[in-house]
Amino acid sequence: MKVYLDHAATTPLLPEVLTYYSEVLRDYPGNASSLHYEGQRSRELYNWAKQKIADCINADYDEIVFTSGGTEADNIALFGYLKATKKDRPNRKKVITSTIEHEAVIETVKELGEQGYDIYFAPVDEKGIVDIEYLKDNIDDQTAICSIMYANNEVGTLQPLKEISQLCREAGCIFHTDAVQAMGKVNIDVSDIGVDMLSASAHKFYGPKGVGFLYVKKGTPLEPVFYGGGHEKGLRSGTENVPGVAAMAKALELVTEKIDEKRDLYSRWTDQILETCKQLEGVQINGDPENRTPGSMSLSFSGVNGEALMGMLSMEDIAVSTASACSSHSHRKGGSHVLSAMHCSEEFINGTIRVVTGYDSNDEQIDYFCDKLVEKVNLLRRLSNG
Amino acid sequence: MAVIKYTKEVIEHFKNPKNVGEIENPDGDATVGSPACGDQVSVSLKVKDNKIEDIKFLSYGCASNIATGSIVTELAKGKTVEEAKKMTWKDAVDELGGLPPVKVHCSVLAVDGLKAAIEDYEEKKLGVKHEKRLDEQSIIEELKSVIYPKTGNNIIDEKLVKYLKYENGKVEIEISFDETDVYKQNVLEEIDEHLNEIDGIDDIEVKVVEY
Repeated sequence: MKVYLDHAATTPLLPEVLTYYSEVLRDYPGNASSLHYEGQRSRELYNWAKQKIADCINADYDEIVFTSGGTEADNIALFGYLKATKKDRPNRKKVITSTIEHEAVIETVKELGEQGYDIYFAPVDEKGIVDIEYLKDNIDDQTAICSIMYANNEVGTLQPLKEISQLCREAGCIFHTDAVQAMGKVNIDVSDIGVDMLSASAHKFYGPKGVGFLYVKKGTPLEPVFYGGGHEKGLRSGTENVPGVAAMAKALELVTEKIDEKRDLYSRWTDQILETCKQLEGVQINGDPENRTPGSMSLSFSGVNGEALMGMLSMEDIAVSTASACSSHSHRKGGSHVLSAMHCSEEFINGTIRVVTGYDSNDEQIDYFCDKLVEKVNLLRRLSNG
Repeated sequence: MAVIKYTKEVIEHFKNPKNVGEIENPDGDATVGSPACGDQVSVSLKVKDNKIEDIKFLSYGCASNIATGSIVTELAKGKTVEEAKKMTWKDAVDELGGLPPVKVHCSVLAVDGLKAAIEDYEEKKLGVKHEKRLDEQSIIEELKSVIYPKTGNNIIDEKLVKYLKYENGKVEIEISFDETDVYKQNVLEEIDEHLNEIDGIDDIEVKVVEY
């Protein structure tokens, strides 16, 4: 039995999405920018996908820009907005984000720092919730843009976006959110949150890899960050990925319908796993138990090396990750920047695994995982303490 | 990103490590590394007639760390103290059928632990003084624990270190790499870590020469 519990790293294509994706790959060979019949068929499907995505997040058709994924969406949002406004709003030099963002935002913001912007990283509390008082003190009439993630990729904590968007509106700055980990897991309504830009990636919600989108509220100034044939209103030049966006739209439609059903199912599994952890003692559950993406858990075990635990579980055909997949191959030092920011002790940071259930999980798998977790944690504790 | 792929031998020693535990009233024991770094190994041993009669280890480390702890203790058991002291990181890794280069650091610890436990035995039981002097020679000895992942030799024997000077708490090192060397960063971090552990060194200046 293979037990994949790493759905925050990526998700497998839903069977219906795979079928649909293959059909589109086969049946829509035309370039959506061609004016002949083949091109127009592809264009129609492309437009359908855009409308579908917009409907799922309560946006308008022309507020969606298709991208190659979350990282590209984040880059277009931050660089594109600042580029478009630097002449008209020269006094706004502040870029504000948080200490627990994904690298796609952190590294982009650091680069903006290199380019002369004043960059601010808001701290978080021990649950991983961004410090609202810090934002109140720092979001002001000098602020150009604020980017705070919707849900964290390591601990799943959901951020108080409505409150933050209110602060941004009052200060007249733009609010962007990286919603890569939230899309398809919680209901997202862009106008209810009041966000100006939002990034998402299809492979996190059972769609294909290499495709994502950026929501851009009407009237938000943006300039391209790379150039070419002027696709996507010039913001994302490059031949339209018709099969990719069609499959993404299909996936988002399917998962959006099942958000409530999955939340209840995942919460039963989460309870079972957390109950198992209680029996082990010396376990810390990271993040906000009340307010996180359904199915995600960050578990820290005392006296256990997280990488060894991950390795032992992997040899039993169970896939979990240590921190986020992007950082798990980097050098051992520095651990997780998210858990460090949450003031997690070093011993717990080194003893952490991330477990995220998904559509392909079932009761039998969760039982098996719980059994193996107890066995391996006990083994590793004997190995480290004698 | 490096791909971490383990040999059958590593997996076997990781899943069923040998010689796990702590010897009561050991003739020598030592703990190296630190849990804060994510890796720590403790080695304890019993010596009879100048041979390592029994040896055990505890590990708070990753798969490679555990597997090398297991293989190093297996290899050392029954050897004379002199033979065991000569064991190298390469002996252990060859026995395991190789290790991924990014995992070199974690596996060196087990060999360091064995050597430190033997030194402890020599001090406690034989009265041998391992002087804690700090000079260029002792720094060179320490740098012999830094492995160059490409060849498996240490950076001193590999002749990567071109210049070394120690004066008033400050170490200056010049080290050369091929400009395309992917292990450069890895080696530099290891040098830093090893020298930082030495009391008395306040300042480390590493100059990299690329060719």
